[in-house]
Amino acid sequence: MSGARRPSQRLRAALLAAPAYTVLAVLFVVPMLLLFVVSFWRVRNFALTPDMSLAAYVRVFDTYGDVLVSTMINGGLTALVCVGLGFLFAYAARFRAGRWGDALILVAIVTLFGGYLVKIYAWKAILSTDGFLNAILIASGLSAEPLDTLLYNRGAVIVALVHFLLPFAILPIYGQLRNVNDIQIEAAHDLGASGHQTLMRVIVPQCRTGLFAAFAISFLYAAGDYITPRFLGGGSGSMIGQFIAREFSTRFNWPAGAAMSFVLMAASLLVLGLVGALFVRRRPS
Amino acid sequence: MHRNHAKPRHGLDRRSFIATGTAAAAMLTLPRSAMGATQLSWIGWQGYDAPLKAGDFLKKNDIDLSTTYISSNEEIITKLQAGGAGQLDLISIYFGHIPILANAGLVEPIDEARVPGIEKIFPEFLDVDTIRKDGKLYAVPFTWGTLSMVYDPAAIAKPASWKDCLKDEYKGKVSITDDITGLISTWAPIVTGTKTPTRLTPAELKQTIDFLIKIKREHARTLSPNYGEATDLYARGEVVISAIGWDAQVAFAAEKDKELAFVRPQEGVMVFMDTLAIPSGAPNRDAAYKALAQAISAAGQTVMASDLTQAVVSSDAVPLVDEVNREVYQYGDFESLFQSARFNPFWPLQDDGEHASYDQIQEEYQRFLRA
Repeated sequence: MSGARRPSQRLRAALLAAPAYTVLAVLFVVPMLLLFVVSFWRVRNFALTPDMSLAAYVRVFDTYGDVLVSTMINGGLTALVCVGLGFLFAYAARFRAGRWGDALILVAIVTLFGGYLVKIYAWKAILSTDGFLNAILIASGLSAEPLDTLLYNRGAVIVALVHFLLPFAILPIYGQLRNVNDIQIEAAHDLGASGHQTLMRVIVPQCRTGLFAAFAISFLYAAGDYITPRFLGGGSGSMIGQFIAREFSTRFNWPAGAAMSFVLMAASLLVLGLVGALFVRRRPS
Repeated sequence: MHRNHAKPRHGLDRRSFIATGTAAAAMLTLPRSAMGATQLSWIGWQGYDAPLKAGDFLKKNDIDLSTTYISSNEEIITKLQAGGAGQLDLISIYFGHIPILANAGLVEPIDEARVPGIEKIFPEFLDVDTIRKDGKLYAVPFTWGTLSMVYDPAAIAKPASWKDCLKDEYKGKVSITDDITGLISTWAPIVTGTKTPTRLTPAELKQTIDFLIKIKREHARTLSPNYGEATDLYARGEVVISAIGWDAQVAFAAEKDKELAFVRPQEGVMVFMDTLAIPSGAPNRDAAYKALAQAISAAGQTVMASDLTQAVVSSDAVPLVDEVNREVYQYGDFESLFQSARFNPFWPLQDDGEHASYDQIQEEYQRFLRA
């Protein structure tokens, strides 16, 4: 009897899931496939020509190899800082703030309001030679004249990205920390574990998934960004997203832009795979 | 019986709510034209729409102007190639890109009879071969100007040469903007000695790009993504002189209460001409022609001169612009002006075996951007 009902149940489940799969296919899978096909085409005088060429992929490594590496470094550093600061903030909210913990998280979310470009221009105002930070440095006597090294470099890009992405890193870590059982922490203390040992052997192992999620969200967003490096990056802060946007919008070189996008995606997945192996696959001892 | 239960307190029952909602949704989804005004889709540089917004042109012609601003001319080509043709009514683009658009069938020939005032455009601009194909005009000259050296008169004395920006005292205080044609056209003659900077051999191109990389790395504060950002650098006191500039920056800076000035250095500057063209299949062609006529009218041209410090293309507008504008752009003596301000042809679109093609120029320019 139950065996006879299984096919109809499966059909019902499939029908229920169909709209979601359809949306995923139409909005994500099909465009990605089309873009993948285009990455093998050629372009001449602003016109696309169907082909089966690997030239666009070869060009990614020949022309943009250094920018790709720089992008991975910027994305990785941004994600590491986000995970570190995010963990500290989430830990304080979960274990130190008492009943104000949720309010702290709310404050973190509120910082998302105000928009992305506003944050970029805010950092421009803070880090420029006549900016807020230079004013403090001069007023406090730490610098005799304005420093022009605060802006238009890799550091400025990472600072602005961390400012924007930190709330996205805090949320998954905090979600995991909420699931850590207080009794286990007390038991660790009762058994003589130091604060550091409790943190590293009881708390952190239980929020590895949250840490990885925080890293992945921050890394993927940072590695794909092209606005922040354009406005704050200068020469050393350039990232591959800027050149992907340029290939698509300015040169109409869709094969190059598509190939660069897929290489960036593959490189990002590689980094996430390595980090995932470190964060997630190791079980708590 | 409680009346409040029979009828919602807000006085709108479910059926009325749905009917009202449907009507509102239908209103929102109707084409603007069905609601009265003709929607004119325009794309170009920010500020270039000013002549259309001036006075009562839009109201008088019942036009609802929809504007899209660009950060590079090539964005327009990409937009038209990617399905924008048939949706856009009027584009404002650098004259050099017209052959690309005309050859690809992305713009349509201009019906000159529908553009009153076209006969008043200076022949030096209207008769340029680049905007014509098979005897037909594909774009109407709209404005022109020079890519001059912009400097902060409160900080430095008036420069005389482009090489002044390479002086040690200005290291880190030089403005340089992401402008492929402007940068290469300005610096190629200085670096290679060429008379026509848009006809470079691959070796000359490499030499020019190498030099630009040197300026970017050793002298510039940063590479600004556009002239607006570059103007911000002057306003914040971060730069005082430029390796490439645009006359209109003086007007941009004035809006920020910053006084800037521009000068044509002894090596000469590049003259640019921006045009107006109608994309193939423009849905509101009549409105596009009206806008085109307005943009080149004496009134429209005067707005460009006063708002953006740009030069006018119509002889009718010359008496209306201020004395400074007339003096700077020497409307009565283009021959003399063009000796120091070069009106270059566009890059070769195809590889001719001798000169770098536009594609090669763009590829090499990427090297400058990555540096």
